[in-house]
Amino acid sequence: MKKRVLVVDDEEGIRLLYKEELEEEGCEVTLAASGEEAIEKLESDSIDLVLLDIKMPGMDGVEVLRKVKEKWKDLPVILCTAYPHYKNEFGTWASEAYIVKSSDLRELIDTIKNILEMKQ
Amino acid sequence: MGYDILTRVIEFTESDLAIDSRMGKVAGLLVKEFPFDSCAIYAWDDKEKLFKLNVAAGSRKGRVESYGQNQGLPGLARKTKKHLEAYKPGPEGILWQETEDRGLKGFKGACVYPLKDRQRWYGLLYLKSAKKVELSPGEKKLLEVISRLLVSNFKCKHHSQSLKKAGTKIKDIHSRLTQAEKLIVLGELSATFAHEIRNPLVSLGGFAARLKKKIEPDSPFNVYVDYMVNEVRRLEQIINNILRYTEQKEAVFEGTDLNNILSESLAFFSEVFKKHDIEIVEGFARKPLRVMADRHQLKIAFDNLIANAIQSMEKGGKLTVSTSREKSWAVVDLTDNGGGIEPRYINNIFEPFFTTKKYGTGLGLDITKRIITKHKGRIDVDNKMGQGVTFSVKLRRA
Ligand SMILES: Nc1ncnc2c1ncn2[C@@H]1O[C@H](COP(=O)(O)OP(=O)(O)OP(=O)(O)O)[C@@H](O)[C@H]1O
Ligand SMILES: [Mg+2]
Repeated sequence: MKKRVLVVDDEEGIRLLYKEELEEEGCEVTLAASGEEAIEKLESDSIDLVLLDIKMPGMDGVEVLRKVKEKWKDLPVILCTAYPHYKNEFGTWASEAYIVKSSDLRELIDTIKNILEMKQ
Repeated sequence: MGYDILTRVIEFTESDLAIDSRMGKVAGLLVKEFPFDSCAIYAWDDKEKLFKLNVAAGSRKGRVESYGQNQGLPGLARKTKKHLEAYKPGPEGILWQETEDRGLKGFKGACVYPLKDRQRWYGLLYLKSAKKVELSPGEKKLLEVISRLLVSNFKCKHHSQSLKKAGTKIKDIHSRLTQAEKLIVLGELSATFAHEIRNPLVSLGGFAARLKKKIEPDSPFNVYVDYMVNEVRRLEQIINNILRYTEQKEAVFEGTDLNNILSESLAFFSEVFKKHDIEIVEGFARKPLRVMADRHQLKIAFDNLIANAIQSMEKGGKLTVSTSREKSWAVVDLTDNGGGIEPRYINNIFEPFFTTKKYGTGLGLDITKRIITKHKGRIDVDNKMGQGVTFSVKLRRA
């Protein structure tokens, strides 16, 4: 069965890019443009993994991460952000991985694959 | 004659001449106007504990360049802190022999005036005569006053030197301040940079890479797309450098093998070496080279050095990487043959933002040096203009 990945990012370009790449890797992709929308999607769809941007207007990634860990304890989350700075603060805390955004998507794809495989 | 001499001494000491030339004039005057054949003014060097010849006039006979604090008549004066007179032979003939001053050979009389105030020694005035001399009380008084004038000259010199030093220090502080300011601004900017520029770059480069997948391998558009992909990667690299620079994370030290870190750094660049036709010559120490280090940071340090070497040999070359032990140090030498650094830049290369490259940020070596310093190590450059550069990194062995 196809794995369903939720991509949460306020930048449209990033959402589209991740969607296309991940679909090519055989995932089903759901998109959310804000933290609020992400929670909605999590309530309605069954998601296997979340790709989460940290810096978003309104409800930010950290808040989303906290909610996710309360409600969907075993759902893996990859923090995916433009800032390497947060790594120490959030990296080991609750997310499965922390990735600094890059136009080279290999690290991201590999990490997603690893996490999904381990879950099986 | 007394006031006459004094007036002239004051004229000299108040003139616009350099301070040492003023004292030279005074020495000349003393030889001329007093029954002495030689006059020398010594300066006290407090670091080396020596009286060093500053200026002299008259006979060159028995001229001694320096006196230790226990040597000769000057040494004795330093010990007793007094004005001394010595004659050969005479009532104070014992003093003459006692001092064993090699500068007294060929003379029959001498006297020394300490040049000092309550706080410190500045030097001394040393007068010698080939004949026996008896100074009148008036002459003695005069020499004392002249000595005082010389002291104020020395003080002047001393102060102008400390002023100069203070000036350099202020300049240094100023340049460091402006650098610190730059860093603060940079730190604030980098947050904006990261978000506002990295995100668009990710989609730009990401989509370019997707385009690359879609077009035929023999399409002429491949060249364009390659440019897009590579240029974006380069921009990202610049952002990474700037962020890394402002990040300033605490180092986490652990026992690590330097050979191992270097191998990892080299492996990281293996594709790039191939692309630029760069041959790697490894000369690693056989046994592991253990150091206490932050692996991540050290890797960044070596990555920067390797990146520079590659950039200097983009049309091919040889990079020699060797490690060795040198007493308590672990040493890494990275030698390229990319033509070296222009000598006029050699003192600038570790400065932040100094670059000769079109797309450099000029932070690479600064970051590297900071990291090595944090590890209490050192980094040296051996530049062979026209050939290449060797960067040597030394770290304490664990
Ligand atoms: N191996 C080398 N061969 C020749 N020149 C070098 C070498 N390493 C450093 N340099 C000179 O020193 C300068 C400063 O190097 P540094 O690594 O600090 O900055 P950069 O390489 O220009 O930019 P950045 O590393 O931030 O991308 C370079 O621009 C170059 O002129
Ligand atoms: Mg560099």
